[in-house]
Amino acid sequence: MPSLRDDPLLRAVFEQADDIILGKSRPLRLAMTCLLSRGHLLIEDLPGMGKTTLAHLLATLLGLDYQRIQFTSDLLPADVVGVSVYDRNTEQFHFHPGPIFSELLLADEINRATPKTQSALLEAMEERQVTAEGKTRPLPAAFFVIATQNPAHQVGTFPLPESQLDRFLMRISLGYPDEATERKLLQGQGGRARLAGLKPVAGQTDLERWKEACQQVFVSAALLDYAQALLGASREINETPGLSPRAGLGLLTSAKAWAWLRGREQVLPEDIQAVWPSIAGHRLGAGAEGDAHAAQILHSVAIP
Amino acid sequence: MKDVLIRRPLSAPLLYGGGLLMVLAALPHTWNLAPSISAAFALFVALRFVFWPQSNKSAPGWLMLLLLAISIGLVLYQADFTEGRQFGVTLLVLMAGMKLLEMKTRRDLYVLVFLGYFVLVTLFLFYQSPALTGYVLAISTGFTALLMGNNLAADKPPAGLLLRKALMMMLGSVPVTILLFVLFPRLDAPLWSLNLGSGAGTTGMSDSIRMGSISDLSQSREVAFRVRFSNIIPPPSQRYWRGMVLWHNDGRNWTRGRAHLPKTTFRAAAAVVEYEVTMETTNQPWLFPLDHVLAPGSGMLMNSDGEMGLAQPVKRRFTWKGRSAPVVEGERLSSREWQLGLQLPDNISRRTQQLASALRRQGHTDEGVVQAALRYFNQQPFVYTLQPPLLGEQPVDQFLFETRKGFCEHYATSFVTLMRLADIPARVVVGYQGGQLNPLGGHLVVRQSDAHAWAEVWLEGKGWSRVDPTAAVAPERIEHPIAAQDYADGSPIRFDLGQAGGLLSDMLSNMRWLRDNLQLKWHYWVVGFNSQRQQNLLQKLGLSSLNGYRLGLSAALGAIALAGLMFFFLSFWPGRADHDPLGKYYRRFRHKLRKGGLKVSPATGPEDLARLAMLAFPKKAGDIRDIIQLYIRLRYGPDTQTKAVGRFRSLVRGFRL
Amino acid sequence: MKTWLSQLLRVVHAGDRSEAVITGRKIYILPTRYGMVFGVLLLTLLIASINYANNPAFILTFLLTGAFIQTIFYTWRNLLGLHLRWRHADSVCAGETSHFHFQLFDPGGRAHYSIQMGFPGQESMMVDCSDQQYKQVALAMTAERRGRLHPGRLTLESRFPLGLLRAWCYLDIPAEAIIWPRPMEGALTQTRTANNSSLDGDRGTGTDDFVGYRGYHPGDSLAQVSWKALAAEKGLLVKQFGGDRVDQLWLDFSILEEPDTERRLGILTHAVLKLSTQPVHYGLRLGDLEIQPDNNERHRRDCLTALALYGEAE
Repeated sequence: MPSLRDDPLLRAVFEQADDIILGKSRPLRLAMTCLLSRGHLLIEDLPGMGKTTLAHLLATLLGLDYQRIQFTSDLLPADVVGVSVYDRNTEQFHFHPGPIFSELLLADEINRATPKTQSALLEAMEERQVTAEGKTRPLPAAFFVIATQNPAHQVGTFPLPESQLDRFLMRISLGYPDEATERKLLQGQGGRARLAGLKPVAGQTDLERWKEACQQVFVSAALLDYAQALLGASREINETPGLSPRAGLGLLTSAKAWAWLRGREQVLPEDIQAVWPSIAGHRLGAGAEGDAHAAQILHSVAIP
Repeated sequence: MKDVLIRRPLSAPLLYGGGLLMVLAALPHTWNLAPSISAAFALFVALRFVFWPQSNKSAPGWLMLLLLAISIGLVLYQADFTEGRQFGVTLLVLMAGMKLLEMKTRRDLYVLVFLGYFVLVTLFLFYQSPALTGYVLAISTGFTALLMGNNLAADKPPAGLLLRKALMMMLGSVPVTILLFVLFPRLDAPLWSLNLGSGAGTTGMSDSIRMGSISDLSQSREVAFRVRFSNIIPPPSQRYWRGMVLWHNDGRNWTRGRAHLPKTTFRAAAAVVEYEVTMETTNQPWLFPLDHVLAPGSGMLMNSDGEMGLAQPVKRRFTWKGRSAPVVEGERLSSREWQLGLQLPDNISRRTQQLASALRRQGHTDEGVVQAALRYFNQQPFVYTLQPPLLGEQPVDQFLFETRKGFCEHYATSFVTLMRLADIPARVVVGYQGGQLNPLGGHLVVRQSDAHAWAEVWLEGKGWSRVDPTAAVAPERIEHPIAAQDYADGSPIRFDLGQAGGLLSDMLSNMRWLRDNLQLKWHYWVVGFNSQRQQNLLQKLGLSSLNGYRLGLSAALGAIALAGLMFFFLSFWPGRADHDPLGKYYRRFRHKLRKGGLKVSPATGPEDLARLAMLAFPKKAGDIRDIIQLYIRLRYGPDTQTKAVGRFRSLVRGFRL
Repeated sequence: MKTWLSQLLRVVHAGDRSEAVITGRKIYILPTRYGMVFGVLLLTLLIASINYANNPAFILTFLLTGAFIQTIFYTWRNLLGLHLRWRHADSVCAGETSHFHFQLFDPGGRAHYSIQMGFPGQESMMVDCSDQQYKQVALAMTAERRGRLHPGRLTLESRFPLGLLRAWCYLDIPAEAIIWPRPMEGALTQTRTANNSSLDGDRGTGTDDFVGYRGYHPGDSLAQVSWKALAAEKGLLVKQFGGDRVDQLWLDFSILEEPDTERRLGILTHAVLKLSTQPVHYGLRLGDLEIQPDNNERHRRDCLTALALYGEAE
């Protein structure tokens, strides 16, 4: 596992998280990077890999207000965003904010919802505000969505179309633990039970401070050359238009955050390489195909 | 397909670059052209850059027509049709100025550059010095770079890169140039002749002197001629260069007198000196052979006075070979010469006559009289000065008895007058005396300041013998040149005794000699390279069989062969734009690792590379770490210290597996 | 005749991976107009130098001659060693402009300047390829008809460095663009499968079960307004109903009303383009071809490609 910045709070967060989610340090690091880059995260995994645990964990350790939506096919946009309910007593409509008004939102199995409901969430993610019944209500500043998707394609589901996938900065996958880790899990180490006893390690201000610091990491011209080479290569694939400029920006921001987490003051190509699969994979094609393209680009593009 | 670039408007750097180069190209012409033409050119340039500084707008058609009419008018008014050079160049320069006003597309730039090359070549009609040749070559490199920029799509072409490329191209042409220069046949006569004229003005001697005419020359450091000796180098006391012989004195001026008989040879009575003289332009026909010349060279005329000259005035630098001997066999004096040699004007004073008689009494023989006269000059308080006081109606009298301050011409003419008064035929000779040996080139440099006047007396049994009264008064003059400085009225002359004046002045004088040497070599090998010299060179190279058409053929073949060689050689030249020394050395470092067996893909980042390399070559871990850390700092870090690149380079170079 | 002549030409062919390498023997080179003028200039300078026996002028003339000789080589070399790779072409509808995307690079790292490339009869583009870049070039081509668009032989030329000579070469690249039919509005007889119920059906807004109230949005069907609520002065509320249904649509070529084939294809194209933005799974029946209903990018492209290539001779 790559080195971590020498910040006591940061180290505490990762240590405790590692204790609970065993053997997932890399996805954890990526999730943190995504959070620090102010982007949203998509986790594609079969059930039971620990997605919920991860989300809950991060929320608790970072002192974020946590909500969870379980998406089903009958979920309505109002169930996400909120609804105005008529109060018989006051003879007025009160807006009850939906679960989206939180700081860390876990949108579980987002592919089971209808496109309409999906777009309610996605638009809110994009604009960081909710318009309901003519009024615009802003979402919390630290709004962070972790959406999950079940990769197994099932009839009647609506996997997010590629254009919508772009809204997620990163897509990661937790995957099966290795033998040693699974052993520990089976032995009772780690696990959700310990979640209950967790206390927040860092707070809002710390997070803000960290996010600012990430953006201060230096990006040299040589590094931009590499980033552009990758972006250019992504646009040369026959089957897909490649990474958008927004994605390119996201790539750079994440690379900065990753470099910062590693304790560096400047971004290196390795940082870009570290975040690239999560950023490019879901933008270059559906499922494994996209990941394959991303990997191929990483192998074939020379660092200038 | 059609050229995409050609119709595009000019970009600002191309316009300004073109303007600058054209102005620089035409600049040396200002000295040759009429001021109104230069002013017109300057006006055209100014108009363009003041009113139409954007590169895509140029002067409107009606203005161009108006200026064209004005130009034609100027040319017709100013031009001297007999002066072919001026006329052609005037037209060319005005055309160039108008093109500058008019140009707005890239197509126009081609025309400008071609015009520029023409303007540059016309400079050679007027000047041929090495400095100007270098200037012309530099400006034409600039034009070539401009052409390159014209063919780049970018609006801001990288000037440095283009100039470098153009320079490389010019340097690459050097072999072909040398080959063609040596082999290309030279014609002795022009294909057709156009009266080129060569400008007015004569330099150096005129063919009559009066008191003061030579001292006028003595301030000029201009080179009169240079001499290279083949066998012996005569000592300074024998370095007399004979110019004109003056017989007739009207009381103030001395002139050459009437017609002279041509003569073919003089017989040597001492060791013969062979030499080669390179003369500067004088616009006069005189040559100045070493006293005493034996026979005229081809195309030269000689007369019984020992004067030598050409049929035409010397209009450009000119080299000729001579043979002289310090002493020639004496001949009989004709009665005409006897009369001329004793001619006296009307304004001789009694005092002067008495002095002559006194000298005759002292000397008894003719030779004795000469010595007595020289003693008189030596013992009386005579001063040798560059600014003698002006003399009036009886100059000889005033000089001999009153002022007693004079320059060589004073002494020479008054000496001759005294000799004539004493019935010894005498005459004045003007020419040059002395000269400085250039230590670097081994040739003698004679300047205008070495101009001199001396006397010759006819002695029985010896013939015309040289007597230099200056030697009696200022013998140093004969041994050393006059130091170049300003002389106030009447102040004595200082002689350049050639003593060391310190390191700086040594260096300066060395540089002057170097420049002098260069100029001579340049003239000899480049400017004066005619068919004769070409044959000489080819003989030396063993290629003497090449003449006539064979020469031209070999020139062409040689050029083609060189071109082929160049293509072959250049095809291996990578032609990579080397802007990135850091990247180059990093690549080299990776190459070294790869050669050591490490498998690295080009997509491996520096840190990963370091890790893999340190694992593979643990003994070199320290070096590897240093190199990679430095690389990361330089390449991806915020400071771009270019000095540290040098350190990186040495680290990589020193890295060995 | 023309084909025989064109067979005589030396042409660069693309190897595998659609990559063409320009080698020396395939490059033609000739002087441009300015090159000829320059030749005349050199000749004039030479004659003048001979006549006036002016040796420095000889020097300048010979230097310029040397430069001209070198520029022959440099212009030729400016094309030498260029690799051209065809990436893909934009698929557009007939009548629009497609772009053919190429990648230009030199693995040897040498810089190539002012390279002009173009298809016959089309606008050419100028590009520099330096600094070891992969230079992307997009050449535009208007697509007249649907089907496969072959742009023809690509010509690369350059006049760098001095513009006195023109070097060019021809490349045959297997480039093609799939051009879709021009979309047209038209009547679309749809075959809708009735209520394909599934366990994971949605609770979309349909006509079956009542699922709740929501606020009235202008445009809602008045039939769905809850008048009772309004009467009870609760405001304008709309009843929502859900259903277990997923929309599936079949686009069938054979059942369209329009007689003309091309117009039929146009209508279907329009339909595909529209449906791909909606939450509907659409399928295509085109002659022998049947594409199962789905809704994603690849599906859209498959349908459009099928429409574009309909009736292609085997």
